[in-house]
Amino acid sequence: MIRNEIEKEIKKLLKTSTITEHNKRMVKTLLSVIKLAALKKILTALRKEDKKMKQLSDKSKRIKMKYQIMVEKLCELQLKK
Amino acid sequence: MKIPKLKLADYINPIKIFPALKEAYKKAAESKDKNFFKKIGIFFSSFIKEMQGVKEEKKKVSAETNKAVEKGVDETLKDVNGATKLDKSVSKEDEKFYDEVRAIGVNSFESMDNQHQGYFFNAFEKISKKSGTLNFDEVGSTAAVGLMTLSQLKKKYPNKEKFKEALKRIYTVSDNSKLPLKTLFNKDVLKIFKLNKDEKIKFLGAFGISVGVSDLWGGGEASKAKKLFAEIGQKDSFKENDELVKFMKKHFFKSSSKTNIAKIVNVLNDVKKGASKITIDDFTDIIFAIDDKDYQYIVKSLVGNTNLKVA
Repeated sequence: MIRNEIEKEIKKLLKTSTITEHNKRMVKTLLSVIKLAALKKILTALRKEDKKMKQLSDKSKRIKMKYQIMVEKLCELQLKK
Repeated sequence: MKIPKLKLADYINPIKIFPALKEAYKKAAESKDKNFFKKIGIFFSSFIKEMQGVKEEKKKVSAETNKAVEKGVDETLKDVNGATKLDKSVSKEDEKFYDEVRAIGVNSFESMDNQHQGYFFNAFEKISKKSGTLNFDEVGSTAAVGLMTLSQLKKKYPNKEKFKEALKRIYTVSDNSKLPLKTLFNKDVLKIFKLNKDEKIKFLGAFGISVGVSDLWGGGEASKAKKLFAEIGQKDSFKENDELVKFMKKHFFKSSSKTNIAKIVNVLNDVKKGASKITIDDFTDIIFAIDDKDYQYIVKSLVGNTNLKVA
């Protein structure tokens, strides 16, 4: 992966990243001068964050769905009484 | 069972998440069915607990990412220290002297917040490569580090001749570093510091000169600045009652005397007129012409508060 592509992907991931605004600004400011090895590490960390956050969002959706079904069922039973 | 489509905001409204809940609540209340409320209560508390768990996991992921990003940023900022080290062998005395001055410089750099350290690092790279142009933040951070370092050096060598000697020594010894000081005195390198129109407006803004409606027909302070700065390099010399000197006194060198400000302007005038570099003598004159209080004022205007007492 060439440097330009790494920088482009980092910029994209920073848009949705949950890291502090200060760290986002620092990465954007230093992007062109951060050594390639460090840049790759940052990209790996941001990719990992993106993946885990998406998984956690799915998890919370599943939890909500699960409780929605359970409470609905309980309510239905109550109404049938 | 048909699950209704919900928006994010709906999750704070249990009636909306669970459409049958309202009716069931009503019925349970009518028949005084405590069991139903107990069961609902259990559902909700375990729902909140699970959601809290997800929230905690998100926090953990965020903290881990912050840590990894900060590590990369810190490694980069530490490079400034390494890049200014001497890379050839010089006498031990010269090395010791250079390291002392370098420590003052690094201390000045580290006194700024990380954001401005980043800007300085960008500028440092461009100056080392002698390519690109700097924006206001980069010029401001570089000037601030320079001014803080010179101000500390002036404290160490309050005698003008001793200061000049020290500066000459740094000038020679720094030839053995990756960024020789003579690079900074070169006119071609100084071009890197030339700001475009938008960045100039930011620069003026830092010193309280804002572009207003009156600038549309050339009557504002920004227009005045443009007109007066254009005089540099056009006149034979400047005197303390010249408009430019008065303007600089009002906005940039509030505590320096007009006589000293005229000296500074005259050095800049000579450089603009064609001198290929600023000499050590000229530079020393500028440093001693600026009042100590103005160092602090200019640094604060450029980069905000720092951890270093400038004057």
